[in-house]
Amino acid sequence: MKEKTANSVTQIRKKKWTVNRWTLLFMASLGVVFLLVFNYAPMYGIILAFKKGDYVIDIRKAIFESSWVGFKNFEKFLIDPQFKDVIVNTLCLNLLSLLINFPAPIIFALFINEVRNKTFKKTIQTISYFPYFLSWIVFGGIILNIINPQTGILSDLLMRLKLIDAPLNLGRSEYTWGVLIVTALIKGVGWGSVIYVAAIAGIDTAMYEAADIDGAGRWGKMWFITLPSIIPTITVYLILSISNLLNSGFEQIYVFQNQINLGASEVIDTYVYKYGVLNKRYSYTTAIGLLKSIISLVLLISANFISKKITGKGIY
Amino acid sequence: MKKIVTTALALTMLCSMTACGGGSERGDEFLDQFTQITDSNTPSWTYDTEDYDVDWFIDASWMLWPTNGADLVSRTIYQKTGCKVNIRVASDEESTELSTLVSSGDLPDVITVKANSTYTSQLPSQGYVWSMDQLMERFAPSMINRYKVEQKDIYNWFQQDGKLYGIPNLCYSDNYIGDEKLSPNGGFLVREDWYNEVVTTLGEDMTTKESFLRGVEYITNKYSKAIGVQIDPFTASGNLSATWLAQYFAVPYEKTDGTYNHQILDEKYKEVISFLNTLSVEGYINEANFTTNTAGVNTNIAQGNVFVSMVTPQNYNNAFASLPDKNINYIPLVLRNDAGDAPVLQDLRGKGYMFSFITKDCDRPDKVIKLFDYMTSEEGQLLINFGVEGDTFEWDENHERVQWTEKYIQDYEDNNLTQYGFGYCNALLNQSFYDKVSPVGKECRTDASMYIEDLKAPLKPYSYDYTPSFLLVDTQRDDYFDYVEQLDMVNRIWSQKLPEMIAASSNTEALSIYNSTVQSMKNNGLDFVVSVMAEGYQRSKTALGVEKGWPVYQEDYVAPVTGANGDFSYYKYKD
Repeated sequence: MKEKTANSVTQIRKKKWTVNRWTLLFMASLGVVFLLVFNYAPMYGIILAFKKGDYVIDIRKAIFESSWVGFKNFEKFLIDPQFKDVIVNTLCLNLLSLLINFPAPIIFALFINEVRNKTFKKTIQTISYFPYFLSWIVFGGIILNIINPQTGILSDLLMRLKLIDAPLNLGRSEYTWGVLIVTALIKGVGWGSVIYVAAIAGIDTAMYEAADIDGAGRWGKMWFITLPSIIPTITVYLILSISNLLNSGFEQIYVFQNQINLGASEVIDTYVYKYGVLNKRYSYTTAIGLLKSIISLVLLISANFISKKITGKGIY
Repeated sequence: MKKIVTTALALTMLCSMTACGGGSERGDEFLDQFTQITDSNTPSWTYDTEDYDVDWFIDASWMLWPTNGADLVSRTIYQKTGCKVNIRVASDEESTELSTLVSSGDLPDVITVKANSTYTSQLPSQGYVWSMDQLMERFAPSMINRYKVEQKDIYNWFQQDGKLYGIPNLCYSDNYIGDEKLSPNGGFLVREDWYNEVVTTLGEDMTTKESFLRGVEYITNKYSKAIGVQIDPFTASGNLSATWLAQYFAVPYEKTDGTYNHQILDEKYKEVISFLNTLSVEGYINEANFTTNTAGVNTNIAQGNVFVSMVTPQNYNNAFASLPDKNINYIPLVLRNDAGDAPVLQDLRGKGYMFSFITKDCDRPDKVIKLFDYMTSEEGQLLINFGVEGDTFEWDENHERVQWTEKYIQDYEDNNLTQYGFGYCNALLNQSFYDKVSPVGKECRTDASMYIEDLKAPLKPYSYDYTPSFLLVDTQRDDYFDYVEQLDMVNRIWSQKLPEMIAASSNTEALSIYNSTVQSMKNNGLDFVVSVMAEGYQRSKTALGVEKGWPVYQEDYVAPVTGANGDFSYYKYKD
């Protein structure tokens, strides 16, 4: 009798599993189809990088009917007079961002965690999150008005404080990197800290209690408990940031870009948009995009490899 | 399993690629199904008033027609042709929507694109649009005379492969202009009260560079809020103020032997750079001017603090018309180069701002060409600008200019004009015809519009037809897109370095940047670009039938003589 019941339970479970499995497979297949259609299928377009498809207005003709040109599109980018500026700006801006804007949210999260007054803590967090929800067009517009040498408040204030003699034009190339880093910091530091605040919240409080017993102060707890506990999160984000070294914030840079600071503000993304996409140079654009993707892939693999060697942790 | 995945992947790719469309394969046989018309004396649109919805895409976000369908213009077009014109305008200024339309292979009946877009040559050469000749000959013979006889200059100018593919708007035909002097395109203006102060106090008329600098110095020292010189914003195309200054300094676009002369390579162009640099070094060009945009310039002008405006006046009409003090007026200035040459300014006539094409995806090209025939006819042009004869306008005694009717004047005064819809349907606007027949007098005009219309008028003696300089580069050349690519490259180098030249700390440094920039342009294909331009220049002169293109080299050229502010007798409305 018992055996019979067990068999029937197993059968019911098996049946249920079969039904569930098909449901799960069906749901998963939607994701696979999405990936195939939107991520893998368009990859066929990569061949445009090796074809003479610039200025052909029918993309299908550009892909299937235009002639092969080998690496000519890549060569064009490499010999472009702006190539050096574009690469230097892209790498330097992103490295600066990695040095300043990557640790800033971590430090901010660590300090926020130490604030005991809940109202004050929430207020600071809300204020710091707010700029993130403004588009770069709006936020950049506000900043541009503030730093306008003729009508902006900043120059006026600095002149009244006798810190400068003449209006300061922060739109000039010598200030461009600074403006881009600082504005990205203001806009992103609050929101960027959310993930770390969440990670900190997940730390076992018993460790802090043990540290209290051991006589650790606030700095000691922050340094020896909080920071090491969020290292895995930091590592993952650091690896992803390194793989993103060639991706600059297009909108931000486009907003702050002007003709006189192009030498310091033209990055791969803005260059591709202005001289590739808008001019319908599909092959040229694809070649630059492919080059960028390959370098990003190499950076990602390298960063992951180094991370695994040093910390034993990686993203795969 | 691997095979299945590979096959699935390949199929998905294939499906995605085939989802992208292509151009229509319709050929002459498609046109055979429609009734042909042979009578060129009867307007073609009268043959067919069957209903048809025309899907019309305009690649310019500002060309909206908000009252379309409900106003007199659209109702009359429908009544006359049976066509309901559904206008769609682009949502941006960067042709992304148009690119998507073309790539999807689902084109509307009519596409209107900007004249400077490469689409103007790509759409015909890649087989997306019908040639107007083909359609006119079969379905709208009454249109042939208009473009092959009356406005032959337009036909000659725009034909590609011996055929006309698009109809331009804002294109001036000799048929309507005659010998009349037009206002210049750019024009330097000075604030009249401050200028008079300079003349009275310093005895300077500011027509020489030295005198100009002394005048600006005086005003900027006296009025703390004064902006000495306002120039146009720097853009990827360069700086328009530099373009206008080159015309003031008479930098020729033709050599004495009649061949093409690239202006920025001319020795005289250095004077342009040096002068702008001096204005910057002296602080007369505001530091903000180097990083500002059109909105910033607009604000400066509207505040009335600009002493000398070197901007393109028509781009800031609203600002000039809304000055805070009614007593602030701007008058032109005739600035000259070191040699004292008279300015040689480009007049307003253009060879098309936008082009309208009938696409091969249009189901009734026979119908749409009749619509084009109607809209480009004098009747159609009168309708879109002035309405219906007897209702909104009447001809004057000599049948030369139109006059508004009492009814229209009353509606104008009652601010009840939305019922008419004038001034919106501009994709096929013939500006020269409009100028020729538009009403004279102050009726139905605002003070601001009259002020704007008069703003540059005293400079008319110095304005000339610059059409030869609108190079007719052969778009059928094998290396045409190499030219486009290299032109883009050299323009990019120039536009990036120009603000540096002007903002340099001295004339020597400015000219040093100029020389290195020209060298860099040469290293990146400038010589090839100039050679193609030179060929385009000869083609344009041939199309125009002129031997010399630069006005000064023409036999009948006599340097105009006017006062420091031009000839005030050209004012149309101002006393």
